[in-house]
Amino acid sequence: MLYREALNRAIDETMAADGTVVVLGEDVGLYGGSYRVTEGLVAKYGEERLIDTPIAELSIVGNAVGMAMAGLRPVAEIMTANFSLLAFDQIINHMAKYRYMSAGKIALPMVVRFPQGVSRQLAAQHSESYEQMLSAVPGLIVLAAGDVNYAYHALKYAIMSDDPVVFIEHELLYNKKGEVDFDADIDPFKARIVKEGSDITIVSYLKMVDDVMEAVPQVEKELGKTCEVVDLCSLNPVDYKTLEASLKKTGRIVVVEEDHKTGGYGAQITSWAAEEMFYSLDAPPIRIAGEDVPIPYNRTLELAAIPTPEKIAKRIAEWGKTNGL
Amino acid sequence: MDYKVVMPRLSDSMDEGMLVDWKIRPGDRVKNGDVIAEVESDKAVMEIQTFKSGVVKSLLVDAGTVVPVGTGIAVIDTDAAGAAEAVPAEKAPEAQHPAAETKPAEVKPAPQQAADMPKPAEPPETVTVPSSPDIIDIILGKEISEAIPSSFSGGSASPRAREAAARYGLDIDALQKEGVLPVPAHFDDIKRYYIRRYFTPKALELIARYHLSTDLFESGRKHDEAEVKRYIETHEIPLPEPLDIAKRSMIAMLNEAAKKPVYHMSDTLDARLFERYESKEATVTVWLLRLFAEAMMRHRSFRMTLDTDTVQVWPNADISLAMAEGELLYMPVFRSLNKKSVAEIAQELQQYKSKLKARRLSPDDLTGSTFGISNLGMTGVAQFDAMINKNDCAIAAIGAQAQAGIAVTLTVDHRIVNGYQAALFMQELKALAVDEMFFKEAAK
Repeated sequence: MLYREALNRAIDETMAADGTVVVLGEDVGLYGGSYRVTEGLVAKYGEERLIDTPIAELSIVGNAVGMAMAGLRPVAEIMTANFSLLAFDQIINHMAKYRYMSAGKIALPMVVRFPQGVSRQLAAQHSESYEQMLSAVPGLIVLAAGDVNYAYHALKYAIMSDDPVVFIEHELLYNKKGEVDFDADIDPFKARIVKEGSDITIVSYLKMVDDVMEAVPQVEKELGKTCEVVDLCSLNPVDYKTLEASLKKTGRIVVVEEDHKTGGYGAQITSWAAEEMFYSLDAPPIRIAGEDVPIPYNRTLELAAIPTPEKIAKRIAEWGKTNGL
Repeated sequence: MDYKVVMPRLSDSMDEGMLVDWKIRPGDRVKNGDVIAEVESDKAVMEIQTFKSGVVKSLLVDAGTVVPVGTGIAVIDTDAAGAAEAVPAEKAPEAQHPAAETKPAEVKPAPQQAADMPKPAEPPETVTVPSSPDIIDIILGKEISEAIPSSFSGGSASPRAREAAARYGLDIDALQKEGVLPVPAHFDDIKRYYIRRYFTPKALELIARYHLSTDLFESGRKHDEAEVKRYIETHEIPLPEPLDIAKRSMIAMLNEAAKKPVYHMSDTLDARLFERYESKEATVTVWLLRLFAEAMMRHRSFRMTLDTDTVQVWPNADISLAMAEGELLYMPVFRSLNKKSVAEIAQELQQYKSKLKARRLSPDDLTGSTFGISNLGMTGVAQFDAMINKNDCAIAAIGAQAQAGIAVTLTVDHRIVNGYQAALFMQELKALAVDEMFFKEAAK
């Protein structure tokens, strides 16, 4: 099953099970979604529940907030992370705050979904990542689906949850293949151990998990050590328990993120390691992140601006060698 | 970057060493592995090597001086122009020590070993030891990492290393001064030093064999084999023995056998003819194989195996026989026994015995039967029942010869053979056991 098919199935199943689930966004109905996530759903559930909106992100999320307050379960799709900036007032001031401002009387059972990250030459205004800003907003749950099975289970959870969820996808993952275990009992807030190992903990999320997995054989070969790869899955709240168990075992942590390094989300994980896990550390925690530049259009420069499997492998091997491995 | 060579600790009892002779002068280019000086410790004179390439900046100690372990004795500038391709100093003492050059990490602890080395110009007491602080790692065969990275920004040990050192009661700074811990020190360095320092090799061997952890033993004092043995006994630690492939496959086979719906049927065979016809070669087991084969030819049920939607009826009597080798059980298959004489079967049994000893049974030797025999009669056990082998439909467990005769217990797969057929088969066995004509024929 493809990643986008898993998302489609999650929406389809929740729509079938609960008549209050509605989807709204640009081209989500007749066109089936820019990345075909809502393909075929308008034929099944009609235009009343798959609502094609104008190109006006603030109103998409604003309407979703109103729908959620009035008892529906809206799933708002924003075409790409950069466009979500237009909706930030609704996301941060309203979606994240109403439950708090109403002393818990108003629940917001809603989801805002969007893809982010560097795809292929979409240039500086369509390639950004905003998990760092959204994870810094109390009141929002931020999930990042880097895996097909997780995408299915986490989106279903997000739609049926009474809390507002920002559900982040990645532009290059929509055609990723993977198995879905429909009967699995997945906790969406639990980090996923993608691969077990004993010497280095590599923490990542979204597409970088795949890049890390590509880099790991080279790292292990060069250092003669094994890496444990963790997909964070939930960016807020963070599953520190899983990270703690892994770091206690390995004593070394690397965070790999695609976003610009300065102010990037990974700093939260390395600062946690330094603050809470200091006496378990056998090497300085490091971050492998994108350059502090707007994402270039030129393909060569675009790849130079973000971590790639080769760069990840090289950096971890160097760091390992200079820190006792 | 300046690299300081320190007086290494060359033995447990060494606190200071005398610098006998310098092999380098300031300005010389040295490379990793080059012998740079001779040091006297206890009674032996040993050579020390550098583990950095570069240009000798200064010698801090004059020849003939005694200095404590850990004292800096020379400074090498590793950034000096041409340091990377530094050629050895002109006198190139290592040219006389090919072994030392190819294996700089190796310590030659005993003078007599060194005597075998081709270095006519040196006194026989001279041995080669490295001057690197990683001496323990070298003893343990750990490769020396290229030490401090250029990006290294200070500090002498990782937090985890410090935590471990505190737990083990080790003083990192002192050990680094002595040159037995690298700078910076990591967890592995601490652990390795601690284990090396406080556990005898035999104790470590035992700890490894029993999958124990060195952390189970109090830190700060020496632990020997006897103490680990005591720990194992008082804490009732079992010895974990890994299952080899043969044992694993046996377990899998028995698990399968246990799932079969079976019943048991017991009786005794008259032993008199067996006693009369048995010989050194044609043992009771051989006769039993032949006798069961004869009965199988007359009762097709016992030549059957079960497939998914058919039962297969096999044309000949093929019997698997339980044979033990140490703690292992094998069931080699004797084929077409109905066509073989007792002498031929005896020969085949001998062949299987030697194959078993040499552990040379092939997969072919272990497949193709429909019935099994397990004979424990020679041990004197009166009666027992057996587990069915692989796809066989039944197995006969043979007990000792007693006054009443030979105890036979059939374990039968009910899906293939019903009780009535099994009873007829048993009747046949009993009749054959008293049929002298059969014995005479088979003996030919």
